[in-house]
Formats: sequence, C-alpha cells, structure tokens
Amino acid sequence: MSAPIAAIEIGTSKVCALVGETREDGNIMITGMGNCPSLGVRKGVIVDLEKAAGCVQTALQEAENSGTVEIRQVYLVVNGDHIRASANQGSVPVFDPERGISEDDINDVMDIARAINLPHDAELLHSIPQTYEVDGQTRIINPQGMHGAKLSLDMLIIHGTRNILNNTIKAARNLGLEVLDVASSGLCSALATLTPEQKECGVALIDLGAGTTNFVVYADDAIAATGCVAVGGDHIVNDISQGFTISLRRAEALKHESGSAIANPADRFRRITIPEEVGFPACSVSAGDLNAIINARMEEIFLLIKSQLDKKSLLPELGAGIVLTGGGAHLKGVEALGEQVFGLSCSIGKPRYFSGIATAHEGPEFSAPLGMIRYAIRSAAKNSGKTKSWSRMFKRWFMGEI
Amino acid sequence: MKLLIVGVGNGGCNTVQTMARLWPDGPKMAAVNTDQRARSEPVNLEVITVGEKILKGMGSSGDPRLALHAAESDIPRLRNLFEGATLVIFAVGLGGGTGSGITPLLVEEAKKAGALTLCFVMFPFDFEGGRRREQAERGLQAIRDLADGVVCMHNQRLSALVDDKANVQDAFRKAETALAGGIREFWRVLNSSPIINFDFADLRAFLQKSSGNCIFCCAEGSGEGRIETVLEGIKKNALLNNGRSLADADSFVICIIGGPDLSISDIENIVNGITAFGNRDAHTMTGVGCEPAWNQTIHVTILAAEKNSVAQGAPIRQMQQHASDHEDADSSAPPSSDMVQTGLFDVVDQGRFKGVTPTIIDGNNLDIPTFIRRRIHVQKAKIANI
Repeated sequence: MSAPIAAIEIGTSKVCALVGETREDGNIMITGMGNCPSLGVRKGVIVDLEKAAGCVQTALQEAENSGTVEIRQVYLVVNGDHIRASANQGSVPVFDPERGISEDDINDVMDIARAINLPHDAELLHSIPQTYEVDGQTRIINPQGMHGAKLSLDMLIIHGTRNILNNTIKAARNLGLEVLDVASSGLCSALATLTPEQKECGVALIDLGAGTTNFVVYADDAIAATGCVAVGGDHIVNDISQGFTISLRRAEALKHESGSAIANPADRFRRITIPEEVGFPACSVSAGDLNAIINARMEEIFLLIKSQLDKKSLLPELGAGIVLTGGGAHLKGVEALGEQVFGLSCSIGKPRYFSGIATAHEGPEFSAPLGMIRYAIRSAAKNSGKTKSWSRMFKRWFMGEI
Repeated sequence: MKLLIVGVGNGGCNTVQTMARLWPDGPKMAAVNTDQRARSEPVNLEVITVGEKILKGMGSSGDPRLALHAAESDIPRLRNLFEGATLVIFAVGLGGGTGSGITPLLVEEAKKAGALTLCFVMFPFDFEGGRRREQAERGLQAIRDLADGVVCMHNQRLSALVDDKANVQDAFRKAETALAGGIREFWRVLNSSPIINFDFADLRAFLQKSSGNCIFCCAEGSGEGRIETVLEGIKKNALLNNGRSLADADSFVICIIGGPDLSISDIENIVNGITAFGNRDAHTMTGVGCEPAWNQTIHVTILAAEKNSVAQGAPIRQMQQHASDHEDADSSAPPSSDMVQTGLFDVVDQGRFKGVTPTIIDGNNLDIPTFIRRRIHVQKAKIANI
C-alpha cells in the first residue's frame, strides 16, 4: 500500500476531492471522497476565486472525514478551452548508427521535440510522444535498438493559459494546500476509463462535462489528438431554461428526469408536468420540445468534435469506436445519438480497476479525478528519488502514464 | 426613386429633426411618436402622433406592447404616410417603448405600400440599464425579421467621444447627429452618379447576407492630405470600436464619393488603406460615386458585417407575438412589465453565461441556444390549471 494520494477536480457543476491508494494487485482503492456543488466556475474556468475555494474546502473536509486522513498535498485536475494541443516534430542524427538507436538518442529527440515556442502567456502542461520515424519509416512505437541514421519524433504539446491555470492552483493554495502536480482533465479521464485494447485499436474518448466537452483520441496506442470545446451540460440546461422560460434549477431537473438526447416523434403528444414550488406555479412543457432542445445541442457538440477529428482524418482509425464519459454520459439516449453522428459504436466509459467507495467509481462522472489519482501514482513511481521543484511542475511529460 | 425618412420614437424623432435642419432641401421626412412633445419646426418634417385616443399623447411609458397597441389603432394614418414611397429609411432609437414597439409594425406597413425598407437603429447606452437593452434586443430581432436591411449603431461606443463631464443631453445629441449624418451619407452613396455602381440592390443583398450585426461609419477629408485624413478618421472611429470591428468583419462595403478630380490612385490608396487594417479574408465590395460640385473632397462610408453579434439573426416575431398576447389577455394575465421581462427568448447574455467569455466557433456564438440558431420552434411552459 502506498501513501494516500488526494486529487481535486474543480469542475463546473461539482468540486470533487478523492483520496486513493494503490493495493498490491495494482488496483486503486478509493478511501475518501468529498463532493460539493460548484460555485464560481463557468465553462471549466474559475470566475469567482473565493466561491470556488469555499467549495474546495467543503469537498476537502468531506473527503478528509470519510477517508480519516489529513490532506496537505493535492493533485489538481485543470480544465477549460484555453488548454490546447499543438503538434511538434523533432529530429536528431543517431549518435552511433552501427550500434543502433540508444536510449540517449531517444532522450535527445524528446528534448528537441519538446522545445516549442509557445505563446508568451502559455504554460506547457504535458508533452506526449506520439510516434517515431526512423529514416523515413513512420509510425514506429519504440525505436530503441533499431538501425538508422536519423531519428524523428512527433510530439503533442499540451499547453494552457498561465493565468487561468494559476487561478485554479491558487484556489487550492489559498487553503494552505500544496499542489504537487496538475494534469488536463481530458487526459485524466482517458487514464481512468480506457483499456489497453481500446487504445491499441484506436478510440475516441469524449468527456461530457458540465462546462466543457473534452476529447482524447488514441490511434496505434498513442495519443493522436486531444482538445476541448467550452460547451457542455450547462448549455443544455440554459437552452431548456430559455426555451421554456423556466428557472435554471427546474431546467436542470427536467433534463435529469425526463430529458433524452434522441427525439422520439411520439413525444410530441406527451406533456411533462413540472410540480409547483415556492414562487413558481406548477406548469407543463411538451416532451417533444424538451427532447428537440436537448437533441439539437447534443448533436451540435458531437458534430463539433466530429469536425475536429475529420480535420485530422482520424475517424477511420477508431476501431474501438467512441467512449463517452463524464456526467453528461448519464443523459438518456446519448449513446444512440453518438452512434448516429459518428457512425461508430458508442459506449459509456466507466472507470476501470478502481475499488473502495462505490459511488466514486461506478458512474462516469468521476472519471477525471480518478484518472488524476492514477496519474499521480504512476508519476510518483517514475520520479521516486528525484526532487521536483515548483517550476518543473508543469514541464513533465506523459509517456507511459497514459 | 422616392425616398421617405421616418424617425420613430424619441431618439428617432430627434434624429430626423436634426436631419431636417441640416438638410433643408432633403427628401420628405416624418416623425412618428406616441409622445406629443415632438415639435415640427423644420418645414419639411411631418409629425404624426399615433394612438392619441389611447395614450392621450403622453407616450408609451417605455412599454413596447402598449406602444404597439396604440399604434395599431392608427393604421390608416400610417398607410397614408407610406403611400407612393419607393424607399423608406427608418431612424429608430431602440430601448424605449415606441421605437422598439412600433417599428416592426411601421416596417410592415411600408412594405405593404410597396416600399423597400432600410432601418438605422441606435442601441442604447449601457447606463440606460438592462431592461432597455433587453427591449432593444427584442425590438432589433423583430425588425431584422421584417426589414430589407438593418444597420446598427451602438451608442455606447460613442461614449468614447463624449467626455465624462459632458451632460447626458450631449451624449444623446452626439448619437443622434452621428445617425443623421450616417443616413445622409448613405443616401448620397445611393444617389450619386455611379462610377463603380453600388445601388440599393447591392446594399440589400449585403445586409441580408450578414445575418449578424451590421455597423457603419463615415469619414471625410478635403484639401491636401485628404486621403490620410479619411483613413485616420476611419481607424479612429468610435463606431467601429477603434477599427477593431473592421479587423473582425466577415465582409464590408467601402463607398467612396469624390469630386470630379477623384483619381484611380486615390481610390486605390483608400481601399488598400482600409483593407490593410481590416480582416484579410473579408469579402470586400467597393462603390465609387461622383458629386460634380465637390472639389478636393472625399467622403468614405464603410458598412461592416460584424461577427459575434449578440443577437444573431434569429427570426422571431417577438413583437407580433406580444401584440397577440395583448389581444387575448384576460384578467389573469400578468402585468405588462412582467410580460416584457419574461419573453420567450431571453437574450443570451442572461442567465448562466452572463459575463463569461462567449464560446465562438466558426463565427457561431454557441452560448445562444442551438434550437434558436437552428430555428426550431419551442413552446414555452404553460401554467397548469389546477
């Protein structure tokens, strides 16, 4: 058993703090969990630091109580459409072509491929090696020992806006917590839900969050693309609220209880009654209209992601289809709509190889913080013995950890 | 072409008054208001007070529904006004009751009389408050649905020109003068003897294609260095957000009017100068006209289709709906101010995404509900009868 690790996700709908430790069989046991409806976060980005910090504190306390631990150090999930991916290629001559490509050559090419000029306000989050190329032979996964004169590497550089990242970190640091590392939400979700087989066959993970929708695409066991659009479940609720002119809270309840991503023609004749509450009289809406609103928004989100995958011609690479996760995966009919839009099989991705507090890992909505724990455990194992400075925190890379 | 210029509401009426004063030999002008206080000093200005029977000439108290209801009782008078006109230009100050409420009705009547309609609307200053802004947005949507062309002017942007200590009247005067000048400039563009033709058909096609916001600005220069003056004037123009709107615009029209001495290199310099700080990929149209009496004088008018508009071309017959609401209103209907506050389409910057950077992808503001952008009709919640 390792020391307990705490991960916090400051999401748009909820702030979640989890405590987990590894067991002998390699599974991760969730021992503590805290959850608090989120305030002051829009589209994955903190807009009110004080409110957000308050939520973090509530969630953290709950996690401390349920896990009977004291949390001083945390890993943070970061999110928002300011997080972007750019591809970069680096090449080096092989030091000793007679002996083949050595580990030093690989380290050299990684350093070069990682050196990219980022915008002045951007901070490097992850650099992810994709595939190697040796003397023009492409798509090599591990070139070590191969013969060749020139070694190239495609690197995916993930970066975010420094100030926004710092705000998220500040929300935790203001509570006296030490932030050990941060990782992007989409990558964390992928780490929690995808199996090695899926990654090998090619798969697109879509994390349907409240404020943002993240996607991560694996092709040939390497991350081929990742991205984030700042549209999510909140937009559905807002659409419903505007369409029917009802409060956001009622819209939220309608979406959860009666909403479906697939519009059924028979719905037109069915009306849903919204019960009376203080200040609002009882009223009714057409089920057909409700589902039309949800369907239009969900389809648009899927189409946005599809167009991004199309741009890189990744759709034919997705042998294992689409995996949906995040709170939005609870929406009725969302798999069927995904299948319609992408023309690929669609499934709900639940976190894998976790145990402990059941609610934490049975549904798709905790994928990101669970993935963060796995990321933290793996990176801790890799960096054991090395000291890590604050400035190096962002500059680490993701290979093998995903 | 027989032109009629109609000012609607207080802002619009003041604008046509300014115009009538500055332009005594201009076309026929009319001021339509619910408030009697609009006076007819200039000779060629016809003043029509609508709904006197209902409102007693006291104005609409900022309620578009009430204004519309009042105006509907005076439809025959309005029909007379539009008779024989081929192009009606409306000058409207949005946000209050009359401008936002009755303009859609007037546009419809003008169209029934066989005229083409072009609306110049003023968007309220920020200090006028949220409710007026909402009313303005609703009114704009309704107008956009009906008129052949809508050009928008954001008063708030003019506040850069007014210094902080200037009185509020100055701010409004400035807005009205800018609008009056703009309309006059447009009329000139459409009416001058064309060298490179840009006529009303082009204008209409342009305005209809740019479903978003359309804004304008004018600049003029004369004597030596007039081209530089014009370019500088455009770059610094507050209505274009200090030129930023041009950098974002999808497409724009550049209309140049000069005297007989206008040379090819003048035109080239102006067009190149403008496209240099405009969006490179923007679709640009140019019209050039000549005023025989002008020497060493150049007027340039720019019309730009602005991206990321708040109210993106959602065709909602909001005002008509309000009208029908009014007719079948029974005793249990909510009070009028409430109706305005909770209309079917509360505009996007409300609710959840207020004050958050909008998500804009491929020119679409994704914070606007998808069903509105896709024009899916949705019926709002019905109060259950218990």
